[in-house]
Amino acid sequence: MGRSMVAFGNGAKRILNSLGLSASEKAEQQPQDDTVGKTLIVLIGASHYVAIFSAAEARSLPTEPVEGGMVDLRIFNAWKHGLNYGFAVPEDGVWVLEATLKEQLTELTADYDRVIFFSVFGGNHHQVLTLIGHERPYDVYMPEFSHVPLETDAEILSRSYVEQTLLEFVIGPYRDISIFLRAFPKFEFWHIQSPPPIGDDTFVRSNIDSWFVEQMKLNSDFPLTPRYVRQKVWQIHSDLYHREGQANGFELLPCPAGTRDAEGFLKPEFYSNDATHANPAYGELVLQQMEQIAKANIDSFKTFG
Amino acid sequence: MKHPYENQPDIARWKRSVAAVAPENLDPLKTFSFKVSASDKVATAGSCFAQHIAKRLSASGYNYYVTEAGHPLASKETREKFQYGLYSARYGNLYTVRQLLQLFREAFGERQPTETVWSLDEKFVDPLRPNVEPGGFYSDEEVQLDRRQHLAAVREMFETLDVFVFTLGLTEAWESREDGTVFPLCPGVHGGVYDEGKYAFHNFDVFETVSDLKALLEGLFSVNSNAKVILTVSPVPLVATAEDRGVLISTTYSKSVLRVACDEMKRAFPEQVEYFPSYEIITGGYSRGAYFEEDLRSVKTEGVDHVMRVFFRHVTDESSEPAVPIPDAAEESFTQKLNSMNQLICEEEMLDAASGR
Repeated sequence: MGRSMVAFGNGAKRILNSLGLSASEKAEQQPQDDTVGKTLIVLIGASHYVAIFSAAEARSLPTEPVEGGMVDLRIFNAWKHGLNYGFAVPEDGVWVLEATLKEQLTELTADYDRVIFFSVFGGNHHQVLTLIGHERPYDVYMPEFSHVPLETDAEILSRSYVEQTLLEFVIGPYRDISIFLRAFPKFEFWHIQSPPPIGDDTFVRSNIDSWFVEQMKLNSDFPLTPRYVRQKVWQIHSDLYHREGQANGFELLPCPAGTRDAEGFLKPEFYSNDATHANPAYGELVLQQMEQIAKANIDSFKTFG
Repeated sequence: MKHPYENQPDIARWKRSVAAVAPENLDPLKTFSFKVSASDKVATAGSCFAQHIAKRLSASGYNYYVTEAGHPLASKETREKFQYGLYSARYGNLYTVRQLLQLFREAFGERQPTETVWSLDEKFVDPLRPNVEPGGFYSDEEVQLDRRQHLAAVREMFETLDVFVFTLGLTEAWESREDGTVFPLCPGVHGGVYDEGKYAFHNFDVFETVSDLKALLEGLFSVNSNAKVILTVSPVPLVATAEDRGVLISTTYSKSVLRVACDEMKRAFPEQVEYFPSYEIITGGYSRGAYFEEDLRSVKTEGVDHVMRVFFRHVTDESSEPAVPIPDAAEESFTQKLNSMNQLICEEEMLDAASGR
């Protein structure tokens, strides 16, 4: 039985379809019992959690479980650790979940019938790789983008070449996800797709993180990678997580419906105050996706860790 | 009157230059008609053994010339995995002279192969270099686009190199019955489907090989009149023969044909072509097979060392300082900088958003 579907009821396929997931191959793995008990949602990872955190905070929910409540949300406080928490530690030659956190999570999850992990590990590597234009312009041929002409004078990279390049970046997130899968094999695990890239170059340029400009010693007229190339690399990045999930027992949660414009970029109403993240309105839609999967509304929320 | 042999130097005499010399000191070269300086752009192509020469040149600070190095967005490891830099352009192993000739002609618009893509499971490969893309390309179009770029790099290489080192490997090949295109691998081995009606085995004879090599060099000198060429023959035996005979006999045939072709070119282009004896240094009886691994095929590091010692002694201009190998320095920094910045980007987001709870 697929581990990510263990606690799903008969409504799982409908839920997955509504989330834009291909669930047909998973349908046969669904148990017949449609009863779902008390559920805990745990969000772990890096910077993209902020949009979700802010959305949850805006709901002004109780911090402790409420009587009769069905779903509690707990978010790992990555900021408290300077976004540098060592989830993975070496033990006997393999990476394992850091013992204190494992103990904390074991205790946190003990009283729940169903536990669903959501990960936002990594999530910005496609931006790291592609936001600033390279002195050797490049593009990627992808049939699904055949409506967009390839960049003039750009070097055409093969999709596999970009995949391999990204794989070197996402090895850390893969490792972090894998240690959770090994530490809690009975829990469901979803990785949240990174928000679509922002297609408005003017916004990106004027809201780009100062780190880029300072570290790369960029002038004010620094080049941006063409926006469709950014979108292609985002797609490849997402596909890598999907593929990794299929191989290792977790699902990719696609970006919420209605968050992309006609060209596939993030809609302006979901822009954050920087060039690489989405805002709490986007986070709210992700919360709603989580609730669809949990089949009940979130009743309480607080951070841990 | 003395007979001609009496004036011959030691190197012309077997006993003095081979039998009486410690194997590791054997040096079969008497002269080499030109020198490679540290600034000369040296391009390489050929069979597997040519990779040794490319690596050693690069490692020794000579100007190993690469016109298709792979985009620096990727790491050095990824570029190597995708066979960028393995040779001066991303053509993979070119085992037969015909392969290189047809590549030259395609690069300069003189021919267009009929078959331009083979399927490999759910992916696609370039029939003329089926192994350069690990796992294959995602689409037919991707194969075509990449080949177009590849041919431009090949063109640039031939037009701008100073020295071209070509290691001749085999005479046996598989070719298209339709247009005579020669493939580096038998169709069906890694992509494509073997079909007796479409493909045929061809073992190039000495006349064909000489003719192909001459045509190639004439072509090269027509686009690059100052180019110098160093020909070598790979000492690596055939892994298998498609002829109805023993592989040892086929190996001797292939190497003999290639070796003859090299001397013919030296005679045809005495000012611009030289032969370098990698084959003799590795396979010569003087070493009693000591330069081969247990499989009697792979060349040991000691053998490559010996070849390159002789190469550097005779071929390179020792008075010139080797170029400092810095091709990737600036390129690497881009990705490394970005990689190290990932955490910083996240922190920037966090500054405004989260305060903990």
